[in-house]
Amino acid sequence: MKRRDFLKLGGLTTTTALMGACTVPRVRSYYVPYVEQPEDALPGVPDWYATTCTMCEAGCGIQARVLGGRASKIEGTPNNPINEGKTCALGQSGLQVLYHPDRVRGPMKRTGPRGQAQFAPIGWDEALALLAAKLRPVAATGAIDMVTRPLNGTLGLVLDRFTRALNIRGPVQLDLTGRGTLLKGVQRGLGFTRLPDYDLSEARYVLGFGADLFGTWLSPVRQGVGYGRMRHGRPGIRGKLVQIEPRMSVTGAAADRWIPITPGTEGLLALTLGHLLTHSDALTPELVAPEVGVSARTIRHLADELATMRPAIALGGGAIAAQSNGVESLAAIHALNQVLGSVGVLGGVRPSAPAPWREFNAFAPPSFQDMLALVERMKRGQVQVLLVHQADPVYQVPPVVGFTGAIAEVPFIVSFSSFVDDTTAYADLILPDHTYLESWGIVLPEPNPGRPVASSLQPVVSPVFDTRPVGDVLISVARAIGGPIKAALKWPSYIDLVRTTWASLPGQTGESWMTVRQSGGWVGPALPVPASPSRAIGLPTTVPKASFAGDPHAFPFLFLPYPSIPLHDGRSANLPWQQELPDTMTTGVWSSWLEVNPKTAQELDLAEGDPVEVSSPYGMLRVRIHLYPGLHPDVVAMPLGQGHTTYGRYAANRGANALSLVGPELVTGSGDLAWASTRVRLRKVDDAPRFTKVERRDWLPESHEAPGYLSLEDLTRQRWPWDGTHVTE
Amino acid sequence: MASVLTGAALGAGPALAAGPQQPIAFSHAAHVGRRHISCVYCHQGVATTAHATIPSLETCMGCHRVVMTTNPEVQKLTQAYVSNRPIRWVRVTNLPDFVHFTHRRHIQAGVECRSCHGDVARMVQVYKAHSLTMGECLACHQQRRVSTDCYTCHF
Repeated sequence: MKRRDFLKLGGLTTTTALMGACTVPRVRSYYVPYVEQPEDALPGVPDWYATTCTMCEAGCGIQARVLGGRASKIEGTPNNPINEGKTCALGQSGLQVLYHPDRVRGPMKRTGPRGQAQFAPIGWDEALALLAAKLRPVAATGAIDMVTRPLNGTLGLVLDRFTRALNIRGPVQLDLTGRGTLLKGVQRGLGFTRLPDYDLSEARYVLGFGADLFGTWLSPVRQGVGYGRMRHGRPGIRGKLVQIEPRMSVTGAAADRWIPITPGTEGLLALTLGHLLTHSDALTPELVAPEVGVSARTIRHLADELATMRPAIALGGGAIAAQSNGVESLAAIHALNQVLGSVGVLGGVRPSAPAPWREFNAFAPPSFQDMLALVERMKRGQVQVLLVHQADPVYQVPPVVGFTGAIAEVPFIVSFSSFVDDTTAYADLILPDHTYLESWGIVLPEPNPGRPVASSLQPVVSPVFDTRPVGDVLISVARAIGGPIKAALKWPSYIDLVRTTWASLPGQTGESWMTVRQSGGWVGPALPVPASPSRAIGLPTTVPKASFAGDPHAFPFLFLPYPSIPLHDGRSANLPWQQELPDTMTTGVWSSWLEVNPKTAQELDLAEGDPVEVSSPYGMLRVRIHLYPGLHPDVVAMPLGQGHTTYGRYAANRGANALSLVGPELVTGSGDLAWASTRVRLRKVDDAPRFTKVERRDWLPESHEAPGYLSLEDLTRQRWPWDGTHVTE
Repeated sequence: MASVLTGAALGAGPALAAGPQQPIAFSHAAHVGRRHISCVYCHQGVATTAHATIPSLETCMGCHRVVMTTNPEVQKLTQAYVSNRPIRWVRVTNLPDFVHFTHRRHIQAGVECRSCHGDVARMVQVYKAHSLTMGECLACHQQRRVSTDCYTCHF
């Protein structure tokens, strides 16, 4: 009482917070109950909604924990046949996509010059009328194009039908993961028509060529689960993994043995192993050893292991799929599985099951040739309207291709992006799509375990901002334009397409959509593996040499960009959790770096953290080097993902884009971009953007302002980096 | 300030007898004391969830569409409900950091609301009747011979 009276008499206006002295917390907290409580919502008790992750192309089943209408955590769906309850870091940070401070909050119109990312909000009615008005004249001429990610499921169907109705060609699918090359490779090597699925969990021996199984390649979570079982899921049996690649990836680090190889010769090595296994002496290890850079003894040892440890799997991908001979290399690698008798067996390789709906199997595979053709059309002024959805060509297409210059010739650019990425900065109109956590849909994951899988997408929260599903936008615009495009998109709404698609599945009805989405999807019966794909498909006779752009004397190093585990191809560079996630092998965060073999660095008189200028025949960038022993001495490697000019506060103007060194070369036979076939040279310069890594074994005099960690040695000798007395050795 | 005086004037309790001023002068004394409305009528989650739960405005409006509609405090409520604006009630009962408390278990064990929250039926403006420190929790747990393992509450 006394204290309260005192405060009262003191006439302090802030007393409310202190009232009652010890009884009331000094920091006020509040209860904010619902105005109207949803029937099934219990405050403090989370709801879990099953949906599908679309952060990469794997299509893992996820469930979101929702409290009071807000998504607070993402986990894997336990019974999902793809990821079996697990997620990766990228999947976890889906929440940051949903609640990102830089999200486009409603439709916007460009107000400043293109590329400056100056926009003003407009209403949806105005925005849709504008889009219809721009599309109506081109509906007859076909002068419209769309750039998107690889088409999949119901969303892919809408995008494909819409674009095809206007221009016959269909959307340009932008994909740097090399799925098209892998598909062509397994077609030639194994006769598969779908992506392969590797039964790692039952394998005794896995020979991996360049495929970063546990990083970013294909379906990393699924492969990680399989690998776990392969290592310690069977009592008494511990599978062996051997990884062959010029740069040690996280998979190479996890493997029992990592074998560096000369880039581009992986197919030749596989072919040699095939010959050894079939007791043919057309290609001997001694003959190929100098070219592949692996000793004949090692090659013979690998063949012995393959011959004795069954079931064995040979697989490949990654940078191999981004070299001129990618299709042939992957064909040779996968053909080994036939020699080993591993096709369709337990612990072997099998084709993914096709989608249970015919129309979803008909999408053309992505090809970079389409992108080159699009740039040509744009340059010639043949594109009046360009639609961009979930792709960032200004960033993801190497600058030498000239995409950014060519879009200047396009009178009207529409972006459906949730963020102002590098491409959206050039857009005339932004019609923000819902994020995947607010969307409906059906996704058809591939690879899948040889059984058709249809994963459902449902909103886990109400839309956070004034966004609209791109499917609905296109359907309503098609209706406004009328004619053949209206007939092509006949559904009343996008959700209606999802529901009717579901109901058309054998044994399913419109009602079962309600129950199926609670579990996250549907799994069909296992399909019989096609009888051993004819003997005609055997080992290829030769694998052509990979060609690399640039004169070897002027450009002595092979440039190996690699998809960064946190940032992939740059799509997740705007998410702070991903930027903060240390790269597994280098512990680099929030920055770019160039990995150089310590021996090579010594020859060039370069030390850790030194700024260099890297130039290729196509471009130049400045970056600091990281000494990386797990690298072929003739190769320099750099993670993809940084170097955005816009794309929000966390990504913009950070590091450098490795693609700016890459040329327009294509993979022969698949048309994918050969992003790992460029030569470069290094030159020491005065300055480059900062390189920050979490773990430091040495001091970088240039970056004392970066987070500092003391080594034990420095601590015991009381050498402090900040007093300037320390000398780098 | 007015609320403090009211609390004191009614002699609702010892030195602790004044909670924070709430956006609406909701009186537990009127609802529980005079009208004998059960705690669970409003705090619906108390037996099933960790939280007692604060009722939605809809629950309030269930009665106040017809009851005491001319009262200025009720009109504040109606106004908030009509404009779909939630009320920010000031939290009164708080626990020390790093402890997990679930109402459900305590209700199921037959602990009465009043043993921690005091005689709410006499509170015009709710205040924290007990200190709810670890010592107090432990005293009760020991008296009732229930677990006093650290991880019962600190997990």
